[in-house]
Amino acid sequence: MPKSRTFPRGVPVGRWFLLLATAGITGMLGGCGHKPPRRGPTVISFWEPYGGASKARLQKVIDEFEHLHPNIHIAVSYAANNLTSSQKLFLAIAGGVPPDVTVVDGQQASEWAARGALDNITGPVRQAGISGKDFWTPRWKESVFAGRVYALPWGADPNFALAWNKKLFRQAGLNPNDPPRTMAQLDRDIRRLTVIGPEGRIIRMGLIPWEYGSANSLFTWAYAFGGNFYDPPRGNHLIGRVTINNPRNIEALRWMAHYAKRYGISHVAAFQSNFIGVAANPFYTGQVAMTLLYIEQDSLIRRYAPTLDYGVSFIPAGPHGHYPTGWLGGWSLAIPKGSKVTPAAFEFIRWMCASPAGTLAYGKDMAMFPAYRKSPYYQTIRNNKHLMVFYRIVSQSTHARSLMPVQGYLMELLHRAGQQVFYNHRSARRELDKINRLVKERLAEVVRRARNRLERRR
Amino acid sequence: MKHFRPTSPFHRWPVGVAFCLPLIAGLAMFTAFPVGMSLYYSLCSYPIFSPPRLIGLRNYQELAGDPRFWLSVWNTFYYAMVAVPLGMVVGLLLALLLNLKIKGLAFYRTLFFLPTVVPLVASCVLWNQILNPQQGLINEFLRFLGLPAAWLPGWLTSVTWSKPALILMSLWGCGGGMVLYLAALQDVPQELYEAAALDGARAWHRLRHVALPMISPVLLFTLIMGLIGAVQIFAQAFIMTNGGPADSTLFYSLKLFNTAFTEYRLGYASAMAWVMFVLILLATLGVMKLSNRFVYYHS
Repeated sequence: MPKSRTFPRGVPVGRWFLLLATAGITGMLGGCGHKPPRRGPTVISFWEPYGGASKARLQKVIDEFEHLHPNIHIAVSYAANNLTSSQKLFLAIAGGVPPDVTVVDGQQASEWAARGALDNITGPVRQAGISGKDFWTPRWKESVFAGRVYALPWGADPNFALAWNKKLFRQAGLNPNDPPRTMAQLDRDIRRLTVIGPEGRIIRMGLIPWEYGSANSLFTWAYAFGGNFYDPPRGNHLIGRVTINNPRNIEALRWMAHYAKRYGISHVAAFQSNFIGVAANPFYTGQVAMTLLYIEQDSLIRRYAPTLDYGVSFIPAGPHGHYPTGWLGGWSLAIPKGSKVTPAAFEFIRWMCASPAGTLAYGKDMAMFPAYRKSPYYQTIRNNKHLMVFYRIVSQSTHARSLMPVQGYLMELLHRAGQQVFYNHRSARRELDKINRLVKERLAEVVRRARNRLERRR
Repeated sequence: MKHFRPTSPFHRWPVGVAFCLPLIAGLAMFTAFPVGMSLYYSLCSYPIFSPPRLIGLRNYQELAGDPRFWLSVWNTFYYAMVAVPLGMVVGLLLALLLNLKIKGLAFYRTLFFLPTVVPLVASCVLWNQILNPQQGLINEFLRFLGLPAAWLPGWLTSVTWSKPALILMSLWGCGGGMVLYLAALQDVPQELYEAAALDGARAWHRLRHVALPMISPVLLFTLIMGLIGAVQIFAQAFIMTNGGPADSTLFYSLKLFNTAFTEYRLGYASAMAWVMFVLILLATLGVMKLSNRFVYYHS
């Protein structure tokens, strides 16, 4: 029988191989944990929700930051971030491995703060000389909970302007230079501009009142009717007065429901389902005569419908509403709980949200309005007639959606209420009464937990 | 030279366990532990960013009185009760057709199986177009057949038609079952058919009394797997309808997801997950019990 080959001391080759492999793997694993002395720039991980062309535009802004701050590198990662798809961030925070900086939907900043998902940045904000006066007021208010600052407002979306197709106005015998200013005029124009084909099929809509979903649309029209959703708390109180069943809000929902019934909600939904993708927006193609315009759309129309003859003005207001009216949305930047508020991370947030250079880059590269009211970007749009309409909305608006720290829940409930009223003909009053009660209960629960946590920290 | 002496299995078990350890550790860490924790969380109030707090059976009590929970149960039950049997029947019919000796058989088999490998998100985008009430393929076809516009289904834009629309879409994936039925049909001994034919059995009788009993274990398997899959339907509703219109496609898993990540109530969502587990378990046990009557294990 041939003897197996051995190294000195009689150990078989196979065993030597195993030993060496084990030692090698152990060494490699050991190497993973070894931290080499840090050289080069400080790395800040930044989670953002942009994709496609917007991502490339955001990268331009970040490139500028890095150019001005050679000792900081921003590692950008995509993380879906909206009312229903923020689980990547939530799990990272709950698991104790959050990014250094994250984008937060402004309407949810106080909610996430109340739930303990964001770090308090009041100290660094004060040290940097930043205050609420630097921002458009509704956007700043969204970033504050219990007197503490948890985020800096980044963008300010003036929602919405009214855009109208002048050619279709002419065809319908309406004055193309006279957009509706009152709800009565709007109703008249919608009726004249809507075209129903044989068999009830919708050929063209004058306006789709719930174009951006029931919740966002209800905020828009409720404020146009003079409504209100919440009186924020005063003094040391953490809970304000919930007014979701305000009579003007009910009136607005009934007005929307009237069109759902008049043209048939299923017919309108079928009509809407024909338009998929940004380029196929029915306003660009002349299948909707009036639309509620968000700020980014002005540049989108230039790209996808350069020959469209359209005007931009303010949305009409009801007898109890203010003209011009609107509310502000927009992203904010925050430091998630579990991540240290390092000077580099705060400097990134400060530069992006509250510096002339950062906000100018945001406005120019991303075609959005900065929340920083002193931004030099606003000097660059003086001659742009359409953008000046948005500027008036952003500078005069006193509303965000609502300032309740249960905003995600409220949006979900308003969405459901809209669907029940439009499809199942439920009473608008009863639905909003129900939401008022549910939101009050949830608000009390969230604030109670937040208060306990704040007291424990003290 | 020593003779080889096998050691007793009892003596060698540590070696076996050592080899299985990576799998056992993975299973324990990523399956058993989360399952156990979800049971614990179901007894807690757990608003995701704060530590869980034990509240006993309160989540389960709240579920019993939550009308949207029962609505989601009804929607899911409706979907499962129609989509699963229908999918099985269509899959079986296709398998019977493809079991015939016709030209281009391999091509047809591939063709019908192909939709099964299309990613779900791509399928949803495609079916959104097919189900479009104004310009979609199905309604265009119905219009071509002369159906009046008032009778055309609104599919995903209608409260009445949204669930049937998703059931119709589920048939797109019946190729998976078809392949299993086809394999089972080809496994049926030819002499059984011949014997039945000699006794005067026609095609229908041969199918009813020979083929179906012989492939009944596969039918049982697809029924159970289909039920489990249907009860967990999520992606189609999440991508195409978000539970609408007016909650008509609010399925159980979608409600569970929204509870966890929109309402931040992980405890309540965990309780829902456990109720779903028990429902699936009961349904499976019920089907297994009934299977004694209609499944024939010829081996």
